Amino acid sequence: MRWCIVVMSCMLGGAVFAQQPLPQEQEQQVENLAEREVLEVDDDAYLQELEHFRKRKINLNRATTGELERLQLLNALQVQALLQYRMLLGPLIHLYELQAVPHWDVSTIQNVLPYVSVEDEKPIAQQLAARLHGDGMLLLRLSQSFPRSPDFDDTTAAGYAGSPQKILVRYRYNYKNVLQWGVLADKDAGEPLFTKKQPTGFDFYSAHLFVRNLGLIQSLAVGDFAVNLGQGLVQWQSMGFRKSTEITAIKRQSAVLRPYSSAGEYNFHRGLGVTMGKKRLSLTVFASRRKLDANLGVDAAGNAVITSFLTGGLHRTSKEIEKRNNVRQLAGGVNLRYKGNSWQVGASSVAYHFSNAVQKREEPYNYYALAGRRLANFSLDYDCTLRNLHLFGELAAGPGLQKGLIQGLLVSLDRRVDASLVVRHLESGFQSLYATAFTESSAPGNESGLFLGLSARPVAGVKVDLYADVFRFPWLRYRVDGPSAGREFLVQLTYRPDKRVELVSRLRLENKQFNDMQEVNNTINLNQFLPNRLYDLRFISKLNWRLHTVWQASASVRLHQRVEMVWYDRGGPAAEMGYLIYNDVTWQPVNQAFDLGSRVQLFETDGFNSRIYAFENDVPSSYTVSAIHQKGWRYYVNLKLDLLRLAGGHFGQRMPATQLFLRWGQTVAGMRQQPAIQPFRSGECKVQVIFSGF
Amino acid sequence: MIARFVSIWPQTLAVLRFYLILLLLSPQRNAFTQVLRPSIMALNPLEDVYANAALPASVKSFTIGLRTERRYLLKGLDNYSLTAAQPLKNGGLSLSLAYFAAGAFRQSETGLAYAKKLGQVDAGLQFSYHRLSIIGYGKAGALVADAGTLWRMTRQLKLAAGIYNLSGGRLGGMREKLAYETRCALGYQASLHLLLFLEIARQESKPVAVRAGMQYQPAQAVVLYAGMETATAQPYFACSFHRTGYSLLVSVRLHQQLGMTPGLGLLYVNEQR
Repeated sequence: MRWCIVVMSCMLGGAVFAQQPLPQEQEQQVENLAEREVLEVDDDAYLQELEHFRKRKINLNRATTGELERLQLLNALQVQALLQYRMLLGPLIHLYELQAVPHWDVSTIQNVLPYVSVEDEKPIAQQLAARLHGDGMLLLRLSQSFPRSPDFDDTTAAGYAGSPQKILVRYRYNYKNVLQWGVLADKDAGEPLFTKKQPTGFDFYSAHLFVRNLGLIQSLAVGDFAVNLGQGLVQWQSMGFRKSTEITAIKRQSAVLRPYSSAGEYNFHRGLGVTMGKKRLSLTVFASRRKLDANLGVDAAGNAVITSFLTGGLHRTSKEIEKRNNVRQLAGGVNLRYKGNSWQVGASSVAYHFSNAVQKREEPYNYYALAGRRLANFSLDYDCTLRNLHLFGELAAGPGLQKGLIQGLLVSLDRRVDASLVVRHLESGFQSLYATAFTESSAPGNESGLFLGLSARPVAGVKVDLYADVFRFPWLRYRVDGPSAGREFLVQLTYRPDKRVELVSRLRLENKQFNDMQEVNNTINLNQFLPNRLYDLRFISKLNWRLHTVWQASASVRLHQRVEMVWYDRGGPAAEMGYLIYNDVTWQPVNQAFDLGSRVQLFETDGFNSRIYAFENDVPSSYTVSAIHQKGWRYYVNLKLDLLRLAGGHFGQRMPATQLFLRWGQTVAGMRQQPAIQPFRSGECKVQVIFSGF
Repeated sequence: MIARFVSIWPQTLAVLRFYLILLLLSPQRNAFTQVLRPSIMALNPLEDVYANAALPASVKSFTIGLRTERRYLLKGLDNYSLTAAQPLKNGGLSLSLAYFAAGAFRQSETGLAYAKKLGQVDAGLQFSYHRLSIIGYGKAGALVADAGTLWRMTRQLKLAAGIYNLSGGRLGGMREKLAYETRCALGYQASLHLLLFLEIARQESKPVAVRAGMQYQPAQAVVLYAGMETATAQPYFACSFHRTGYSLLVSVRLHQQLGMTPGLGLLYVNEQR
């Protein structure tokens, strides 16, 4: 019977679309993160993970829950469905059989195809032999923006001390996913390199050693690592997507400990972490000691206090260099987890100690802000699957026992309809560090909200996604001088008439309360910036419409087009409008040594408020999400060269696989309100070389 | 799918023409008094009898239902409605009573609707007497006419549309008039147990409001409802329990600032014909 399913359901064919760095849905999620100003562009851990799975595909016949969750392309119901299917019917015979797995639709299968395989269990000798062949990868990246900014003048106090190049060197070795180690050196543009101000060479160094499945030790992290607990209320250092058209991607899923090998200089721990487990019980303990950058002030007693943490990792000017690693942080935590067949519960605790007390600026919105030298959080989390329902949640407590709660539900109502719900209630004083939860705010706290999502596939080729999110903030926020509320609605229609064409139309409406700044003709009335004044609030809307098409013109050529429009504060005193049009062409000739991609983009917005975010294909392990505003046009070209192939095999097996990536982009933009001013040209250039397979 | 829509396009045009004529015949106006009905939000605008004048034609046996809501848990802001429907040979009849009180302000409406089956389309008319009284101020009433249609486009798709206060009723013949409203709801029956709908409403002098909702029957005796409307950004949830002709409905609507509005309903369906 199962062979019949395999033979009769040969609909998938080969890979429909040529490989792209991220599926469309995840590109949108990355854009959403950039729009909410929570995207860490230097944190490419997720891209590295995908690249690793592209080379070392996950064997679906042996994959565990943790491995499937690491893909971040499957929701909890889909993961459970596959494991149950395997348990009931045995190993999969072929990838085509995925269509028979409940909750796995064609779109999901196409997204995961590049990263999964179906293999029989190999003899032990073969498995051992495979473990002897690891994957080493050396990445060298150099990038620079043009024109050279006048800030690159180290003769002035405010000038940058270093060169305009951004340099990244990373080596990583992965040994069949049970051993991983690596080192990284990074320098941002403007930072000195091997000078008196930076005698150690690069501005940022990172090293990690990560071991998995070592008997009782499920994972061991030495060096730099990331910790992910529960639903992110107390700790989540990996990428955490928020609301998007993937209405089932509402749950945080990850192993507790993960290796850290990104160039981001803030969101990780440095020390030792270990997860030990036997049967259904596991215990994770970690300890970290590192230095952070912070703005320091002086309190009433004359002591140095931390007024804010600097997360950008930039050390270009004398002042920025002074603040480099000027405070010390000790962190530690524990997580205890018990896993049942289709459920699990966990308890976590995290604590921090700083060398200086934290004392934020005295503003009304900082009334509940983090204060003192210590911070501790506790949480309980759970998840369980009941037939077509998946429940998950986390209850956390912070300083002063201020509580936070997230409760979510994923349900498959029909084979063509999925729904999701997330309730969140975070008290005004709830505080945590390195936390990323499913919230509207960038950090969890001071928020209550309800998210409802629905995804329906009424007929073949048509998909409708919609969500609604209503939320309120009980206390003040930055630029919001009172308890406020907001709501967001989205509807997206996707039409795939065949395997080559996809049309997506998306309409999103966001309405949030902000201070009523009374801007008139873009001129701000300075008299209104009186100290201690609290502004009235008003709702400001943002309506965004997008039409996106994808066309696989041939086996090697793929075209993307996008038209996007935005209306900001429509009908209000600060009304703005903007649009963006772009055309992407990607040429990936089969069995050739090069790939070429390019984009041409036109845009025009009335101002910064009507900016539009657009994800751009970049060199591997790098994100670019541009915030488009003003009036102008932009283009970029990406070129990938397989140098060994270009050499025609002259070097045989002596050389590792070598890929060269080149990227050139330029933007020509002018001030729409002041057409007399000459358009400004800016560009960026990236060169990246990857040596792999040694 | 496209072929199916092309085949029903003439019927679509006929229905649209009907509503366009009704709208054109309606006098232009500006109104600020909200019509009471459908102020108690119908959980399913394609099946709840009081949501549309054409829906009594879909009733299969005598039905009577009582619903109440306490807005924002405030004593004195109570809604009540009583609706009874009786099927006829080729249609149906319904009687509805609605009452809303807010301190000295009282609103009530008594309506009688008749709907007829016309093949794939049901059409109905409702006449209601709308009364407003303010203690110490005065009372006024107006006769209101509503029209509604329900079109069973395919086995899975239904379209319900209605115009409320078609006649442009004015309270007590004064300048103060009742708002008219147009609603259109598209329902998709994904399976026997799941109905999804999208409703667009436009009340006079107010922006367009959209409501999306679902009705899901996980078990024989239980029906779950959930949805969201954009006008007031209020999500709602409800659950009804059935047993031998009787149904108990528990609902809640959530307002961001004002809090929750719980509701209770009791329905009886005469299952013996």
